[in-house]
Amino acid sequence: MEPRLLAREQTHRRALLIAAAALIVFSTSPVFGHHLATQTDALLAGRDHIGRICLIAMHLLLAPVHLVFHVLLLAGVMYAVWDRVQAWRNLQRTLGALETRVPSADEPIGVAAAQVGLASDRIRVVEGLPNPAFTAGFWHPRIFVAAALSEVLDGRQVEAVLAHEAAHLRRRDPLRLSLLRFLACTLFYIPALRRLADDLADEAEIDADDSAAAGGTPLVLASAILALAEWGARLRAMSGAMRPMPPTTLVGFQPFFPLQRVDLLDRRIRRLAGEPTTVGTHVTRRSLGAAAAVLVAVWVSGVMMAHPLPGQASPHAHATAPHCQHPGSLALSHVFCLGFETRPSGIPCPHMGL
Amino acid sequence: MMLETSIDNGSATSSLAEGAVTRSRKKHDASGADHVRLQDTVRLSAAGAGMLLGDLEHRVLEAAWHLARPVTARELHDRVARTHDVVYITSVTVANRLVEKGILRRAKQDDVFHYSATLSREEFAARASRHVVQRIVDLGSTAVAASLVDVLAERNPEQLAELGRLVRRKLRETERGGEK
Repeated sequence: MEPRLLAREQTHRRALLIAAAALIVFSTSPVFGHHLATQTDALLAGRDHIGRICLIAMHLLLAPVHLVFHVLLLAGVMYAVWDRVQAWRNLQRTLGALETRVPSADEPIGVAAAQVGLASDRIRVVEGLPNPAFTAGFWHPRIFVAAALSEVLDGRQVEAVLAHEAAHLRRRDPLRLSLLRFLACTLFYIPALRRLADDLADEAEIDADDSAAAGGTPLVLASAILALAEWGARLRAMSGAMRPMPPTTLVGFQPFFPLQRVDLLDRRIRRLAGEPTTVGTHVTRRSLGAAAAVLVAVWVSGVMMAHPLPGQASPHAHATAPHCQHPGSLALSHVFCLGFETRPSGIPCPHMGL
Repeated sequence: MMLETSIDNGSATSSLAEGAVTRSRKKHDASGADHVRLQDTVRLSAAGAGMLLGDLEHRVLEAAWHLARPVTARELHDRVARTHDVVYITSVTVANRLVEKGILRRAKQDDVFHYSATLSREEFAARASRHVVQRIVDLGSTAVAASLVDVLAERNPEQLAELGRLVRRKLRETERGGEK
């Protein structure tokens, strides 16, 4: 494989991990941050106004927004737990319903397993499995292969397939993917995170390909993947079932941040064949925009909550002067402190002429 | 590479025709065409079909199959209660749940509800098998399994053909390189 492509992929993976971690940290810390660290008020340096913007009015206005994020996060955790419990139950029921067997040492799958150094008791052979090969199980993952795999693929291809799955097994990819899914469900209101999780799942496949190809047979693996993808295409055509490609498009600011449409199969085959290829992403312009909007909302409301109202205890004790809370008037009318007389008493706003 | 797949009445089969990238072993059917079976109805374990239902649901269904005629909830319950400690109202609830799922049929005879199975054991096994096939295909999308290929992902046939040509060309180049 091209060294330049490998370096670009490494950078891409690092960027994905950093982006996912940053989204998680920056979208949750302002929700809880001010409850845990009262020092966050120092961000505002003891001021009640930033220019003409009244922080007291902003606090009152954004309190419900902040509360919404508490509720969303709590709902997200509950949804994520429910989603994982359902997935785990489905997995147990589905795999438990299958008649499986450990491959014998003299059958092609057993021979291929021995060739790639995979203990045969980590493999389960299933008659009529619709998915030719997959790794499943959180704590004790197993490789499930269709019994007919050795009829469709030759011995070297079966070895390559098992080497690919062995890499998933070693890395505990089902557990990793599940954790990513848990986080994406928890922060369901940031769809970009789900898309980053999909990208990381794609990278897990690429990593497993590289592991299998390290044995010196990337083209054999490529031919096996292609053969099974074509089989899938036929299966789909006959059954009518289909999962469309993600509608990822190029974004407007592509000179700075190009987003390429994901075509994982094309990428996998081309890179195994030593051809140049592009690294795609599931992230869309819309999901990035939504993530940015959520981050702005969660941070502004979180920081505003860190700023105490007059009379509230504050380690910075800056709110000692009577603030122009205008009884009977809405906070919205005082977001910009322009010195307008709004109080019925006729006393001018103490912040006039800031 | 050409593959032929069919799914009918719970049996899904796949075959591989000429022009394969892979060097597959092939079997011959009556018409003389080359066929390799990749997929059949997924084989379930002895308790497999039952695992798709709840334990009590499976026991109630077994009771309906064993009695093999429309029976009252009381008869169903008595049959289930021989091997499992359960109260009558629970058996009725479970039987009604199976009616909602279309697995039991409920009809009034002499003003009393009678229950009977809508499917034979074999029909139920075939339906369960189809259900399991669908669930296995969906495992990847629920992030509990890492699949070698997404068998349901949309593919462009021309793109597959182009990639096939690429791999064949590269394989030929590798073989030629090896000979030199």
